[in-house]
Amino acid sequence: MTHLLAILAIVLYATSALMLFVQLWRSQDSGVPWIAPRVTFMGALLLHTLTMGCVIQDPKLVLLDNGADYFLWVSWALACAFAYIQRRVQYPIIGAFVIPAIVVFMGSSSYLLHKDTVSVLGSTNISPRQDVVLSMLHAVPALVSVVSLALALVVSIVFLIVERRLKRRKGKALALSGPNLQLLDRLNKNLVQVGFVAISLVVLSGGLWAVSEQKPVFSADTSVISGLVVWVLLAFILHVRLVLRWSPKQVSRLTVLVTGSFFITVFVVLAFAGRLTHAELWS
Amino acid sequence: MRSSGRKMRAANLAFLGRVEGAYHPRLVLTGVSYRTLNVDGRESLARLIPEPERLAERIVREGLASEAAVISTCNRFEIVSVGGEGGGIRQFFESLLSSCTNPADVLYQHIDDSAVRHLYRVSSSLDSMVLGEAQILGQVKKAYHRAIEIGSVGAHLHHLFQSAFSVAKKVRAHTEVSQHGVSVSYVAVRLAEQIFSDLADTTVLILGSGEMAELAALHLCSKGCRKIIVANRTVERAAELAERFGGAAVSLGDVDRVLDQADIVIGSISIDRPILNRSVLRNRDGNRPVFLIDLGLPRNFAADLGEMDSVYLYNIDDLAHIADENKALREAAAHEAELIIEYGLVQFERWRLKRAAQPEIVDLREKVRVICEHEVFRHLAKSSDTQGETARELAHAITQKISHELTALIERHSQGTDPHDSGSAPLLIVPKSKIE
Repeated sequence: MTHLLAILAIVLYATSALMLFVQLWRSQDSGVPWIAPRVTFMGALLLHTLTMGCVIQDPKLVLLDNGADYFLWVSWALACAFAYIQRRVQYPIIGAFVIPAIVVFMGSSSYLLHKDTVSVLGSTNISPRQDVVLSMLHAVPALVSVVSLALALVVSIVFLIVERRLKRRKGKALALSGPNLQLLDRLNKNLVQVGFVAISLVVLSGGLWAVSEQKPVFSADTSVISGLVVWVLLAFILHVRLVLRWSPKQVSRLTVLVTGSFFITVFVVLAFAGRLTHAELWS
Repeated sequence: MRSSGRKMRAANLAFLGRVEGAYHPRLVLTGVSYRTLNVDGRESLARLIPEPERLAERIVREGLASEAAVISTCNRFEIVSVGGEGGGIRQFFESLLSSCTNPADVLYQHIDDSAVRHLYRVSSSLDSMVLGEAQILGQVKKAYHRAIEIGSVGAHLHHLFQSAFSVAKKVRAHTEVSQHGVSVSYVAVRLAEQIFSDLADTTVLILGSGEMAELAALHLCSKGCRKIIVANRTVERAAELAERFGGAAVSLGDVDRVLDQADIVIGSISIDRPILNRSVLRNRDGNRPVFLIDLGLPRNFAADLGEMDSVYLYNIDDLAHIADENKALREAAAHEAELIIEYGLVQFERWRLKRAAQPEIVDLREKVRVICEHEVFRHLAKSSDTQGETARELAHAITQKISHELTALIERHSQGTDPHDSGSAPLLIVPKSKIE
């Protein structure tokens, strides 16, 4: 049942993204009604939410315990964040990039399910109360930071596309139904700030918990390394924006470069290692 | 679609020609437009007819046409009428025009489907000087409402105008005829909207007091720009322009000082060398975008400014080029609009056919009733009187059934939905004389 819902959600997400691309490039000739991709997306989100419900109900799976669950949650959080943004900024160009990202995360979750199904958290002596506290202070902020980073990547790509069209001084600068540059830049800044606060909380809560449990603060597993890398990336982006006063275009280029590289690395590591857990820490 | 539409229309017209005795008023559109009459001539005509709506009333009152409406804009003066094709309205118009030009050269007259098509094209802004401009539909609607107020519109013009509005709406909704701005100042505003999230928060700096700069500033103000600074060699002239926009005036020497505040800079000053270059803009906050609109010649802003981050430089050629590209897009979309118009024309002709056949249908039903009653009573005369009432009911029932079938057949045919009708053999309604 869980798999069927997830597959249907992926299909609907992909359909919605395809319709948005058609709307974007064919403008009014597309023949795709304005509402169609939005309705399809909401349908996909509903199925996705039902999938999450099934995952929580499954006694074998503990919240964010393994890579498959984690990516499923990331994709769901990304979809929810996009649904929220879409209420304020209704442009097909953002959806055309965000929705494929959701599909990629869901697909990776499905891939990890076959490689990384062992519940490592279940083998430790964490009480249910500790689990809830850990989730609130560690797992949920971790999701928020990754989602912020993914959205910042998309917003930066859109910024560079719109900016390039405006610089080329062609009629297409007006034909593109994209958001304005100031709005995109403000959105990018807010996402990076939220992401930075969230990842700082993740690092702090993780470190404190490790100290209290007399475990090593740093370990070489993928989750710890990726968490620290995200913190460094977001701090760097904020630094060049707020201290070095880089222009929005330079910040967007940097965001695309570093976050793009980060996500590519994560997916490459997953493809080979197939695990995204605190495996080293728990062993 | 276009060829099938024309075929259908030809079949309908052939059918209409065979409706003997049916009332078939002709739709006539007579007028002049910017295509045939220059601005001097149109101006003279406007002076001659200060109240165009009264003209429609006069045409109907004098019996030149049964219905009339006058479309009067700065680019056209047209009379849409029902009847009056025999020369009445044309002669009337020629007498008006004879004082200012040779009427034979400038006057045009469209009849029936040509008149309908012309009105559809006018309402959809396909015949406008600026293709796709939005005002014309409002002007046609105004002409229609005025004609209703004075009582010169009947069923035919009512349906014609309503269908014209419907076609124009479809053209606007389903094609890009009105989508892309074609004026330089409009393009400038649209570009500003692509850069800034809220134009109300931007400050516009105008260098010089040229007409183009003023027009662009006017467009920006209409979109919400409130803070305007005008810089000119003579501060008095700058103050004059600034007062119009409720802004501030500075001398040209103070430009460097106010440049930091400006988000949009419009240059239209006559100057030997660029007033803005890299060294001037280098001190600006790189996080704030600046939109430079160079309308001056020689250019007011150094050409390499456009390469700087957060600086968006457009000169008059760039803006004109975008406006031309948009014009080409509108022209491409106009072909799609013509298809919508052809379809609307087919629909309108179906309505006319149905309406034209209406008196014949009523007449036919009456004749069938008379024939049935006559035949039934003729046979009953030989039988007993008590069966009279039953016979009348029987005759009525037979009449209803036959009439209904005949009416449905005629209507199906006139709408082109008869499954047995190929469209090449229109139904011939039997003339009144033959039934009798």
